[in-house]
Amino acid sequence: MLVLMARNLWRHPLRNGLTLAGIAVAMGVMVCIVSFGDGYRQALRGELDRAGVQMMLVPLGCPYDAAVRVLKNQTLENSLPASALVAVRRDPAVAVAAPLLMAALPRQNDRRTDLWVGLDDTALQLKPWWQVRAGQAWFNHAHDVILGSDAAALEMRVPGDKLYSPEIKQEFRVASVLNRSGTSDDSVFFVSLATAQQMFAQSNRLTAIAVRLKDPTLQREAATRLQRIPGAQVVTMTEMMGTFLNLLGAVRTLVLAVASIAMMVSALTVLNTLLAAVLERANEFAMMRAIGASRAQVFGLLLGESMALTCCGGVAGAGLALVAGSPIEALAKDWVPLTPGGSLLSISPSTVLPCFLLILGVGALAAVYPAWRAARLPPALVTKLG
Amino acid sequence: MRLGFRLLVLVLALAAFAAIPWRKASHRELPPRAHTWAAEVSPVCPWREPKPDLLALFPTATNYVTETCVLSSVTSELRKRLGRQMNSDENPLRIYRVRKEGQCVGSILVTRVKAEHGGVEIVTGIEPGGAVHGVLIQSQREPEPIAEVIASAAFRAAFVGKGAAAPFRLGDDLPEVPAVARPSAQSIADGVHSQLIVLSFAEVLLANADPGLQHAR
Repeated sequence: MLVLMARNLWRHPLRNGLTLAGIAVAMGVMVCIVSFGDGYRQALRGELDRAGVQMMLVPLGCPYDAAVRVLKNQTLENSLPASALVAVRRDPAVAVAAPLLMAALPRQNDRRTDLWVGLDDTALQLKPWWQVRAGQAWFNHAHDVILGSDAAALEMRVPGDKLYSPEIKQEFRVASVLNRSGTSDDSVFFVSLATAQQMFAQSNRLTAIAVRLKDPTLQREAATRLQRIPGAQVVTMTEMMGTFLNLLGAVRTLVLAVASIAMMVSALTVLNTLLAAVLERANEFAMMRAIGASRAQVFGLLLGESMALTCCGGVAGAGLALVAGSPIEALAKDWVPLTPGGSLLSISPSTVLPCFLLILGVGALAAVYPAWRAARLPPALVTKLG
Repeated sequence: MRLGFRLLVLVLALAAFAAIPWRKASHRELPPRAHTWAAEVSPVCPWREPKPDLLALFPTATNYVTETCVLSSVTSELRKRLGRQMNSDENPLRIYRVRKEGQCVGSILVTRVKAEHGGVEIVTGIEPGGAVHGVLIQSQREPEPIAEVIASAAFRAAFVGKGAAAPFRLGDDLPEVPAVARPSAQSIADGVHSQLIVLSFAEVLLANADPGLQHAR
């Protein structure tokens, strides 16, 4: 039976090859979408976990835009008064409140931007990845700078070296270089909060306050209290993650709809291929019936051919997803908000298997009508068709 | 039966193709890094503004093509000649071949050197014979008194015509500069010198790989 199936499929290599390609593309798209969704969720959760904060106090404006900018070490147009930090630290639910002042200094001639972040030592409690690779653990002097690993590599600095900022005309001494963290901190120049406030003429101003609570279950009450601080608004990481996942969910639904259409088209292609085969091989099926094959056997033959076709297409589609996954991921990263670092494509057996079963189901469904037609061919037809 | 066997082989091959590069991207972790005092390896220096640099160095050029030369086979000789390890700009070496109406009129190399206050990125135009045609500073973060010296036309012009055999020493074959700018200026001179040395090795390798290439240029 298997040999018969294989021989029948081999009879029209072009037609069956095109059908197989259609199935492979549909399978590949489906695997990529499912894997991207899973990968994004895991990566976003990891990024927010690594951020070590439960909420963030940002200046008035779009809170999510502000929170994303802070997480990505980008500057905000507004700032918070330093008095907000006192109020936050006074809140009984707050375990750690870390003030941050960020500034991006564009270097027009060099087509680059230097990212400067001012922080105090409380920030270390919220940055578990903060590991000094070389040099002293913290700022000893006002002109000390700690470099992220990429920033140090780009400027070829080691502890003790000088570093000059032409834009603000200030010279620093490299106090230490951090280990690579895989976060946006890798390309940052860190200075003490007071130095940053003086550098950027932002005396008593802050870009954001990152907050960790003593008990995460107190989040709602704490957020309500902190929301009352003038000029500030609270964004919880849970809200932020929910918002981004909702946004991603909407995009994913849309793309899944497109993938479903691709899946339907591939099902119709299988149906068309098998129907053509039934019409071409009517005589053969009638002959099979005449020499004793049951209807179930004829039905099974067509169903088997369809399953073999979709099975090969599914395997090829999985391979296609592995090969084309990275370029698709690179494209998708451009649309998605707050793209976490690292790979977002999580292709694993748990993502491939459901897609594979789905494509097999589609293949089986598409085979039902042609197989039914083949099974219904009367044995007497063989005398008519000769 | 043979057909069935062939189909089975095809399916197995497809399955193997899909399984070999199986990735678990979500569980990928950064490898632990050794705690050393060595400087982080500097990333490859990009050529930030090819069009204006090309016009500044080779005004008659019509275009350029990028050629890559892997120098791994001559690493030990190059290390001896440079007196240091090779960096990421040097192996593989990216050579921008400058062309005028299809003819090679020179080459451009880009590198980053460690100056006193930060990295300095140098774009060097090199004549087909291996001598310096011109030098540009594409990025630097030195204080004004130093920047004025190293970016000055006079200092950059002092490199023109020098080959890999020149000593590239300030106050010797290069003009003396104010003491404050000396370390950074010498770094740039060493950087340009290194580029010429590395290119000379690359040219030999490329010529050996394709003897007709030299003639074509």
